[in-house]
Amino acid sequence: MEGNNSISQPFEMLIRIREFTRSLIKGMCAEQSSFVVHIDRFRNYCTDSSGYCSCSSDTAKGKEVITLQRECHVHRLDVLLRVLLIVQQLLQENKHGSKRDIFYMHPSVFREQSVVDRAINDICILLQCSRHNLNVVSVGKGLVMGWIRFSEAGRKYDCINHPNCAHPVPVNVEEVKDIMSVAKYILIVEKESVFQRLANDQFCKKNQCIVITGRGYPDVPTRRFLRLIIEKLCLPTYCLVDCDPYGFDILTTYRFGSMQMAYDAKFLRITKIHWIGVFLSDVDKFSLPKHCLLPLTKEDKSRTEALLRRCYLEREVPEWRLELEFLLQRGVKFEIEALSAHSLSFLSDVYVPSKIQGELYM
Amino acid sequence: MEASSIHELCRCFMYLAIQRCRLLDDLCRLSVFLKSSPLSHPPFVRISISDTGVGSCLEEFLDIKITRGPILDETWDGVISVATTNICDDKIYHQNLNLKGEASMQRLTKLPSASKNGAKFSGTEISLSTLETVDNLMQILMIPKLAIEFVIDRGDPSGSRCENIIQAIQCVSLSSDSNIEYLKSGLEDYVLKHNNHLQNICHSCFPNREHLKVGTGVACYSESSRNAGQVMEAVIVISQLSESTSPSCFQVCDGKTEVLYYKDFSPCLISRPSLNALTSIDWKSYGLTLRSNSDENSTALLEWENLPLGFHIDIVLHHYQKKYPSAIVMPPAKQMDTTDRSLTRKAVKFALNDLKEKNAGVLLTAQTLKIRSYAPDLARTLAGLILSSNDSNFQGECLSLLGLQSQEIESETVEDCIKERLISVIDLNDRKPQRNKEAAPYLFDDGCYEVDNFPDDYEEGEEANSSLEI
Amino acid sequence: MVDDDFRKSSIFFSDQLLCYADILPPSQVRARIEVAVLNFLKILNSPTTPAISDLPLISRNSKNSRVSQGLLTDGSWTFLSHSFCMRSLMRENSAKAFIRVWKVMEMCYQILVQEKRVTQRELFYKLLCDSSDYFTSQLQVNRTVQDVVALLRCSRYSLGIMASSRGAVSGRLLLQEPSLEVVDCSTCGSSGYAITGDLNLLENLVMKTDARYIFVVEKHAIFQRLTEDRVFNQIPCIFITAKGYPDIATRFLLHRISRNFPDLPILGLVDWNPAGLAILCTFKYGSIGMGLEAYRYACNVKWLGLRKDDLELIPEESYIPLKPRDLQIAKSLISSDILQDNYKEELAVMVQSGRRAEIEALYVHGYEFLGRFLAKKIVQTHYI
Repeated sequence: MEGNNSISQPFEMLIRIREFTRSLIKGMCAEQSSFVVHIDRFRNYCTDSSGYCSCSSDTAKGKEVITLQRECHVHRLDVLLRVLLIVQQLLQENKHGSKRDIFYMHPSVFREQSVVDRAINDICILLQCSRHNLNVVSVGKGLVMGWIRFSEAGRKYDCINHPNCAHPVPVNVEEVKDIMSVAKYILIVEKESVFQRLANDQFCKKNQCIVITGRGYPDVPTRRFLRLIIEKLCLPTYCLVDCDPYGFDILTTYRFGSMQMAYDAKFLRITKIHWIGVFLSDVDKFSLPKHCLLPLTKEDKSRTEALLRRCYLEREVPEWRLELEFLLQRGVKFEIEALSAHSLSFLSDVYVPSKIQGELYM
Repeated sequence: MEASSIHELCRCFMYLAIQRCRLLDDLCRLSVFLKSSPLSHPPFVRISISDTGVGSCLEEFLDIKITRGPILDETWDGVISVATTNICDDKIYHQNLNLKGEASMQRLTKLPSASKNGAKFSGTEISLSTLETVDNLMQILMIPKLAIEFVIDRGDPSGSRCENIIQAIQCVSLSSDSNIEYLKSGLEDYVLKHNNHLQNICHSCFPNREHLKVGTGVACYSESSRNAGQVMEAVIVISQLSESTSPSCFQVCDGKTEVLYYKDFSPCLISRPSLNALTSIDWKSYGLTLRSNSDENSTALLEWENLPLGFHIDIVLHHYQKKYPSAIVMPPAKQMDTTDRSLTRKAVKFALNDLKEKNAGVLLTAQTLKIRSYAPDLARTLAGLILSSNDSNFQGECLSLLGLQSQEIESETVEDCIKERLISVIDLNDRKPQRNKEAAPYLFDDGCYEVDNFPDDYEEGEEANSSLEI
Repeated sequence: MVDDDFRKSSIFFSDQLLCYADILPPSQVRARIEVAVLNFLKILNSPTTPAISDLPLISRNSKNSRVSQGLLTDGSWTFLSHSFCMRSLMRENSAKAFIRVWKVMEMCYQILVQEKRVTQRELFYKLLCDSSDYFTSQLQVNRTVQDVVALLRCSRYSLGIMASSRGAVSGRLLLQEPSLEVVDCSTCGSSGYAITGDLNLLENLVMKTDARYIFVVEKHAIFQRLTEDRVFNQIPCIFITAKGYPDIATRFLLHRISRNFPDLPILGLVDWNPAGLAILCTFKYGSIGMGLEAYRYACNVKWLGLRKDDLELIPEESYIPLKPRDLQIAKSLISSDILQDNYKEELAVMVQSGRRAEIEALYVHGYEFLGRFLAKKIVQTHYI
């Protein structure tokens, strides 16, 4: 198995960079002077909503062939090599840089951040590694609390002693060690405000669990950290998101990974995630006021329609897809905070425990 | 005064009778009797108009100009009998007057006078005979907008007498004997009878007078003014029919108001300036929207746009001279117009304000109604604040402020009590808007304050961009 | 006008005019709400002149802002004075806002009685379900919360509303929550120590430092770079960032640090654009938009960079033209009384040049240049 887990040292990456450089030069100096770079293309879904396609993010969907014959290819190659140079520097100095940091090395050449982002993805594909292997990190924004203890590069995170206190998710996940926990499960929540609610209600203490949030769309460190603790602790994992297209998309990001990083999805996705809510049916089940249902906006609707076309839904989680279809049919959405309409601690005292104990999840 | 028919002639006499009553400054009675003698040949009707006012000096009759024509000539001989006495007289004087006579001296025929036998009273009775039929007379004498005692004696052919009283004033005790009280009482009767569409009070719609919401207003000039003595009275009645009202009663109430107009105690057409004044009143500030007014068919009709179903407004205006019969200097017509207009406006506004004052929740402005609609929510919130407290001292203090016993600590009781208070204050404010409000109390400091009353500082999007304000 | 200027500038009077929101324990906030209810009922049931009393709120507009010019110290800040605007039931255009204030007050009261906290979103749903006639958007809820703050003059946090903070701190600072172990901010990893939104907790933090400087950093990425490079080992310092426009908690913590260690200069590192300066100024003077809670966390932040003198370090291609939004911010800054003259000069240069530059542009000189840049500026005391 090729991939990030097998790469533990920066020098292995440096070797790969050198190999790549060597092959480029070889090609250039060959008699036909064939300067060609092949980049595999990955997609983690297609729009065949029947689910009968053979999509898999784990294998490449063809290749992009970059030659010096087209101007845009030349620019792309230029960017790629410049970024590779910076990455090599980072690795050699064992420093970390963000995508933004890299952009500012040659802003006039790169022109746009997205150009750098693509180059980084290209390099990951070429070198068959994950982004963090390049020492390129993103700004972490995830939070964790509950019955877990670990250390990151010498710093101890002792969440158990303050289980209702938010700790930032470590950015350098590969340096996380000594994970210990007696938690019964892991709960992923979409939003910080819900995380706060649970903290305020001392949810982790009462339920002996770990709660984690990516504050919206989860960043790579949060997902990697989550993967790590799930693997180490073998705990069931539940996810609580809003019943709207954003919440659903966030759920699928945890479950399937994002399209941009499809090449790395197999290291980021969490396959055994249970969706515990919130569902439209909860409104009746818990007799919540009808005012809690807000109408779907036009944008919401088109987002939902686009989501429904993703092939993996039908193939792997058809019951999720039904729920999403139902959402579109009803034309309303429902946020987690609405559970507080009757009683503030309803979420932590009743809702989540009843879902988990009653196995009312998908 | 001119008369070209018996009907007009009777109006003149009634008018004069009213004037005499007014001069007395005491409670008076005006009665009209029609006595039919169907068996005589030709059958005639004796009309008698009697009042208990000051006695007549006969001069007023001489002012009546008879327009001679076939109608008057054929049905009336021109003679009236006058019996009159003053309070200080010891006799009742009887005269016959021939109003068709040429010279004043020829007209008068003195008849023997009768002794009063020491009784103290005053009054006048004018009677005349006419060949008109009772039915005909009833129609022309029925003055729909005047409440008088009106008695008809048909002299039944079988010989027995039958008294038929129409439009008899109900026995109402009036708190004072001012003109406006009479006008008010009259209009109330008028409303209770559905604009005289019925002969008797419509008890199904109005069990009693208290169901009417009445406001009165009197406007006059001060003594020193050139127009001193000009008085305008206005009475406004708001009636509400219940939902169980029969459809025929409902027809009466069609969202229109016919403004009744009297001048010098007689019904007449509304003057143009008064009508203008009526349309120029700021009805909106009383929660009314005037759609249109029409004076087609010589009546002033005000049409309301937003009157709730079952509601009806009746308005009567009365313009008269306070001083009578002393020589009246009539101001020039133009000046009269402005006088009319301003008096009408004032009187109607006084009446409207009076109506609001006496009847809570009536004639509220649209704004007040809107503010009122917030009262239940605010009451619920405040009650929630009080009752969700776990501080019994605070609760006790609040309840005692509301005048509630602590036993009554039911959320609905508290809520209703607050709601009532709020509504009463909102209504009060509608009647007497506080121009200069006392400075609101500051909650937690007694330091130096300045109140910038930025009047409308609350707009949507106010703080959207404020993070940049340094 | 003379009077006005006098009032605005006089240190002797300015403090009397100052109006602020307290951080209060729940019992006191409840007491304030109770006072408001009792007052209202008293006036409503007055035997002589019953009335529905208006709610006097401290005006949160620029007309009611005052500037405190330090006379003995060189710090100055902006605050709100005691001029009121009224929420009245009797005016049609403010009647709904009036009811909203009471509704939010009721909700907060109940939360305080239950000894709970809510997020603003939860508050929105509670109000939406309870009185949907008055609350249709989150914005209305947020604004009404500000109204209640301005009425009761206690912080939003005291009302039982959870605050979240995006802020982080790193460097040579030891923090200790009561009865918990010490946190060493130099070993918190590159994302630093997350600043909690719990102001009570922040207030009770015990802190120690051997730092000589405090750096206020506009951007999280720069903060992360400086932290990862452990620049605080070369320059004994503390880094603090709010990740953009500062929230109350971050400002509160910075203020507490500066109070505890008054000798440490506070140096601001922001982008060379109007928004960067605006962020620096919010730390420095406070902002009216933050209402009554803002004034007291003003800190005497000095502007280290980027400034016009640093522009020679920026490669030509890193400049970006100013956008209309930038010019708008610049205009609002220049018209502010409080902005010191040399800041205005900088701003004028910025507007004149028509372009902006970000701190990351210094990376052309290598990632480690940023640390050297800071060190050089400090040695030369090159800040204003």
